[in-house]
Amino acid sequence: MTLSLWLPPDAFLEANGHDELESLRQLCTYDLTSVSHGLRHAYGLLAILAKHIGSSQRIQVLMSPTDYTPWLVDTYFTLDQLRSKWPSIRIDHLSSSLQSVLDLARIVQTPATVMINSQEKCSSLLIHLTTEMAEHLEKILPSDEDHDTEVELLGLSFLTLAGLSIQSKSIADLVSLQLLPRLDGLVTEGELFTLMPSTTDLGVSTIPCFKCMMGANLSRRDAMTCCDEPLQEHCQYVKAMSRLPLASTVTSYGVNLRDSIFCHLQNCWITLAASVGSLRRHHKLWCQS
Amino acid sequence: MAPTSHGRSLAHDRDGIANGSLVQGPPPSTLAAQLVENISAPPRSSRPDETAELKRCFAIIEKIKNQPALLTTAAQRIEHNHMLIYVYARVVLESLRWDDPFADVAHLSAEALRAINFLRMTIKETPNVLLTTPDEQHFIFRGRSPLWLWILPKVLKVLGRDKCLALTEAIEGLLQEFFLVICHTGSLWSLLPTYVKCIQECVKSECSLIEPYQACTLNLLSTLGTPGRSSSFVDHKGHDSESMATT
Repeated sequence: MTLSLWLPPDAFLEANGHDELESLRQLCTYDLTSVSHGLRHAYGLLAILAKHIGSSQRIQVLMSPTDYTPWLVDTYFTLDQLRSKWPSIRIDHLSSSLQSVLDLARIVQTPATVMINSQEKCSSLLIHLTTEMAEHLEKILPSDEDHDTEVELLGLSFLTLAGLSIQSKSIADLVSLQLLPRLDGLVTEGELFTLMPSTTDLGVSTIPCFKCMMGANLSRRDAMTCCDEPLQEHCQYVKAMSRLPLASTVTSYGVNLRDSIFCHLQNCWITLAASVGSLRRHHKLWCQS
Repeated sequence: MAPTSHGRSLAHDRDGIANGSLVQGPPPSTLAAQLVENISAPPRSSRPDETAELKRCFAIIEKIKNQPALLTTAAQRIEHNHMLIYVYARVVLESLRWDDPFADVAHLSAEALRAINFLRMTIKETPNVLLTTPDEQHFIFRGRSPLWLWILPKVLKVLGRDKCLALTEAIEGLLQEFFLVICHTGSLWSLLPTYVKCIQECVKSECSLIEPYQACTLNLLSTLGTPGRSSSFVDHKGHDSESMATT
């Protein structure tokens, strides 16, 4: 048995005054053959909207982010919950979903009331997707492809979550509870710096930033200028971090947690970069043999 | 400004707005002519009027290919591209039998990709074709809905299938191209909320369909004691073990 679906659904056709329901129905019958088929389809459609929300001023004029972002966050959340009940489903859209949710996490930081309601949900989703991506990283990254996109994505997720953790204790708690324990397995001792691939620009340039931000002798202004960062988003993040009025608004608990998270993320990042470098080297050796 | 197959500028149909994505490769009319050349005779149909319609369209495609100057106005080009999309959808997209267990999946995917690329180029060349509604009885299987609404479900049918995951990027690219073309063409701006609403309703509909089915299936598996869930999604890479197909 397959489940038939009308695309577009009747609700849409009726609402938009299309009076040819029957003839359109004949053309639009769509069979979902499996749960994963349905989820892949839905994720694919969401990606189309998520990619463009807030992407340019022209589109923002035509489509206000405040009109669509809460819906996107809610729907990604719903799909994530549906998918979590079927862990066996192959996640084809994990990277693109994480990218979309990262973009949404940036958009929902605006002070509009409607966005504030989506912030917690978006953060929770981001934590879940980041955890999942980190957990399955070695299996997700095929050893014969360039991993830079996924590595950057995961690094940006860590950075974003670190920033969100400073702003909200509940998010910091979630990160501590859900993400950090899962990352423990990734952190190893030893000569991590020597393992780090020199081609991973983000990895190389991120570490001085972490150090600066954690270091007692450097001001945040120094942190802004110390790295010649090739990745624009990261620069923006560092600048945003430098504007946070840390001392006046966050508790000592928050500051300590921030330092703890940064320290942890730094180790994770190095390990992540090292694991990718290791994969590359293994693949190269395998090809040579 | 890139010339089209008809030797005219694209800007005539773009409301003067350049989106930096000019048509590359063979123009739609050439691609359509190649399609016609690859098909020695129109596909057989139980309906003689359908065969006659395709023959008529094929003749027009050949004629315009040989004499592109016959299309003198932007409206004529839109009308011609409308017909090309109709033919391509009928001959290629609708003929793909994804559910046939004996089908050559590589061939189906190649055909689908060809159709997607064709649509992409045609819509880039004449964005306003998306809003075209045909005269009554002009095309047998076209109905009277705007072209975007007629073609969208045919594209969506390919998305997400286990057999053709490699097409996902191309399909998403095409639908994003729709999105950008609508945003960059003043006369299509009014279509944007409708297009977005359509995608939203499709996703809502899918979620509402999956949710109760999922609950029902999980209950059934639980009752039967069947281990339908795995702790690792990657263990099942490439498998549809959670198929809705039930015995």
